[in-house]
Amino acid sequence: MEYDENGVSIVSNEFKKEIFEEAKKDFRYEEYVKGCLNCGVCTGGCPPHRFFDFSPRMVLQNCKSNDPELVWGMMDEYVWACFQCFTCAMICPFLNNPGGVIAILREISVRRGFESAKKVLKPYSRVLLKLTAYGNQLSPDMIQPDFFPDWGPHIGYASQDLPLKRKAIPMPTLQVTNLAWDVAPEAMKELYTIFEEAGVFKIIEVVDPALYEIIQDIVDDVRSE
Amino acid sequence: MAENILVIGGGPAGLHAAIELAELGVNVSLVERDTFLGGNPKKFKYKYLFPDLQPADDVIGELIRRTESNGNIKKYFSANIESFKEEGKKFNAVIKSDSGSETKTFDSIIVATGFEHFDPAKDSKYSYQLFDDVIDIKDLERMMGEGNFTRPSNGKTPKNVAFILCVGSRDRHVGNQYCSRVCCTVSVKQAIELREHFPETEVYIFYMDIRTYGFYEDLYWKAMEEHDVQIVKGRVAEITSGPDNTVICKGEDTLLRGPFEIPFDMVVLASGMEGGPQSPEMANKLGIELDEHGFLKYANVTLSPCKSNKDGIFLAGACTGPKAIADAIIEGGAAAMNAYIYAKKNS
Amino acid sequence: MAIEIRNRLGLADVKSDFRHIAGRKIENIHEELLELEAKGEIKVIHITDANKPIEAETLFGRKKKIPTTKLWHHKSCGQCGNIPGYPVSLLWFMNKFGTEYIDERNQTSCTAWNYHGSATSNPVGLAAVAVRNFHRAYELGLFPLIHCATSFGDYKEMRNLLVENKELRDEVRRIMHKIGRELVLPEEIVHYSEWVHVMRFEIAKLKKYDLSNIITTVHPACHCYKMIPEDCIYDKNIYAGKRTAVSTGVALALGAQVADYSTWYDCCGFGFRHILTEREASRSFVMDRKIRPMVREANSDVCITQDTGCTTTLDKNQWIGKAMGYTEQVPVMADVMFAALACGADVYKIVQLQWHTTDWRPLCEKMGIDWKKSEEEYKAYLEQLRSGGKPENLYEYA
Repeated sequence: MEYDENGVSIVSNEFKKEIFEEAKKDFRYEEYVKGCLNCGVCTGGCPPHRFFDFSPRMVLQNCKSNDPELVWGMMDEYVWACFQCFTCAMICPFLNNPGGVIAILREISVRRGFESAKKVLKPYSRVLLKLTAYGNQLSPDMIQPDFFPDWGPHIGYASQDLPLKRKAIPMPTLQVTNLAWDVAPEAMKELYTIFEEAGVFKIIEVVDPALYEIIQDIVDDVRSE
Repeated sequence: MAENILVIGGGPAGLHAAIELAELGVNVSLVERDTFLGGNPKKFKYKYLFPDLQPADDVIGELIRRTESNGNIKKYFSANIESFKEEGKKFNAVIKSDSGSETKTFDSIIVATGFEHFDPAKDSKYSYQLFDDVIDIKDLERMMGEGNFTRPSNGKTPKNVAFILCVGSRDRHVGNQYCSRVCCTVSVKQAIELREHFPETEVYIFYMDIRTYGFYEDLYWKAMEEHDVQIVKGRVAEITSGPDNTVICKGEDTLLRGPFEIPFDMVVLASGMEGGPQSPEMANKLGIELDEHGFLKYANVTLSPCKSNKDGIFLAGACTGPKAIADAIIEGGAAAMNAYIYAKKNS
Repeated sequence: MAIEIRNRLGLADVKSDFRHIAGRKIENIHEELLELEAKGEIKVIHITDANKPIEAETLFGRKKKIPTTKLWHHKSCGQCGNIPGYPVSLLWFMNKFGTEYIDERNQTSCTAWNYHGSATSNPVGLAAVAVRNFHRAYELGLFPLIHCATSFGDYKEMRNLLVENKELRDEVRRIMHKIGRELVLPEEIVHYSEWVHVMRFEIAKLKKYDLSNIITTVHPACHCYKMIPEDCIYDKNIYAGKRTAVSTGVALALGAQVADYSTWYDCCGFGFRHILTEREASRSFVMDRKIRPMVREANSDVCITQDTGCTTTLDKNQWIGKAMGYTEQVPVMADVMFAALACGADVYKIVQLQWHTTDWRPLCEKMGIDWKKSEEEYKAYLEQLRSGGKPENLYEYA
């Protein structure tokens, strides 16, 4: 992609069209985008609509417009406002799935390494690391006051004597501190094969090359154990 | 010898068909599943009919009186067709009713098995049956007809009322993709009635689009201009508990306010029409076709709208799709003519 | 205020003769699943008599079999790190009932965080992860019980996508063969809250405390009942069948009061991305749309949840609310944790409320639970462990 002197990307109409076509080619698109008469049920039930400039009705309308410009207009912060709660999908009388469309558009944004996606995902790197390298997510030792100051002083509970407190949890799989549960290396190795074959590692390489390097080091270590 | 024609269903279409045939000298057997004549308008005590707010009794009552006073019409109540057989161009049917079983031969048949009000309990998002103060248009029609319109929860006159259009219609969740044609008009009519009788009560209508087709358009002009009914574009997404024993309607005003959450004393659901439960049974017994929406199917919707796919069996009224009472009555007459011609040719 | 609250109670107990109508195609999915099995395209983990299933009615009236034993625990990567009392309470009940289960290390996260949160995965990756975990349960002869609502929602969706798309099946099968596994799908995708729901009367028999003066408010999880809603349990005798029955059902069975509130359908504000990168949105949502209505409208003593993210978001964000003038507070815990408390499970060792942020002590006191004694015992237990004592586990793990 090209950028002007202010770092703003210059996007051609052809490129916008290419992005829209990529969305439409996704095998889920047809299932998610049907008809829409602006009844507003989806947006009426949409939780983030009350806090953000985001409307599932507009997501559907933009897709139905066949105007790549309107779809392109959602590719920056707009698609990241969605809570992925699927209230819209549950109540749409046409059985559209605007939340599903958002997932498709986000995946394109990440796959193509758009700046907006990189920016949004930056604070994710710890979670992304745990999830991709260990098949796990929120580990007990991640819950530290530095990272969650707004969760109050009690968050510090997890930073003192953590190994002991985890040992006191009467499930042997949980008696670790660096993972939510002690994932078996053979499960991790299978996961790596899945991520390689499905192109998940490649996605992360595009969107966060530094993180990708760290993940690959861990993958190599686990595989050589 | 006079022709014998079977009319199945004693609602507006069936009654009108029976009367017309009887006046032509035909021996009519009128089979009614209920214990009374008049169909859904009678069963649910409709009060006024659109478009001219004529008392329902003047219309349905008149049809019943004319049926009852005509000696050519034999009526069967709590009745159904127990068995059915074609014999050449004629039809043999066993009618089972509260007066026993009777076997008869007919020259032709009119099926007028009508419709069923969509039960809003079938769609969870409207919380019908969960909140006492959520009712539907047939409940409201009955309340108005009985002269006791109050909040079911506390017996008081509501401060405000919301109508929600397209309940059970145009909604793939409940499997009804079609428009029920009359609910918009009925709702606007009821909104006007409420404003006339209870001028202190605010009335809102939430719509996707208002389908008061043809001259019925006059009604919503009137509702807005003379009765200050609030007509808001946006279907309601959720109904939950509100303050002071109210229910909250939550949705998006797609043109003006954006998201809304308004507490109402009462909510009226404009539930649509579904094919009557007798229609699949008739389709099965008489060998006629049912369409994908659960209504009986015309042989040719433009050229022969009263004919079923089987010679000698004709269709009338809401059994072929949602329609207004006036249209059902017209179809009753048209089916009577078709059935009479068929019977004449073959007798 | 008193009148206001009264109006919101009893709603969960409304009974009806409702019957939902399906415009959706879930029946086909189950039929197609069996057809694919017959054609040899997939293997199916069936629910057999050995699983002692109990049937429950779903949104559109289909009967869903919930296996009650021979279960493989599909843990939640958010719960285990952050709300350990959640899975522990569930296993505690299973031990009480003599349920056969395995909780093991050979399990990964569903990785659906990479779906809803960061979009750094794709349907092939997500479906393959799902099938890998299913296959692990399959080879052990057990039925997977999904702890997390997001895993539950994701797996329901992946099941549907796999059943409907041959190309996806072929690709996932190819990947499974690479790791020495096969394409396996369970007959039903079952959430732990459904196990709790069908076991609720058995659970109620273990009740130790009177809950009749406890007002609960239920927060249902979006990924449970909004994603693929036709697979969720509804009951004619709970909310007149108009709202999902799980969690509310067990609270009622235990004799607690369940109150309605105006934002019942709202999500918790977790938002996946927002809880990490736009936290003020999650916070405001929690306080404005959930906690404040629960307390102000229903005077709730406890918020009952059925998922990982909701429990975390609703519990952790109340503290900062005080800084913004929100004085309302309500303890948050999952249905199974509340049930365990009511049945006499230890507050610290089993329900593990010490990890929770919003004060739960007033609730314990109102229930008649001596949490101070429990705290003392727990401290002693920690000291015992510190000096090399053996942990008291719910099961032995090799």
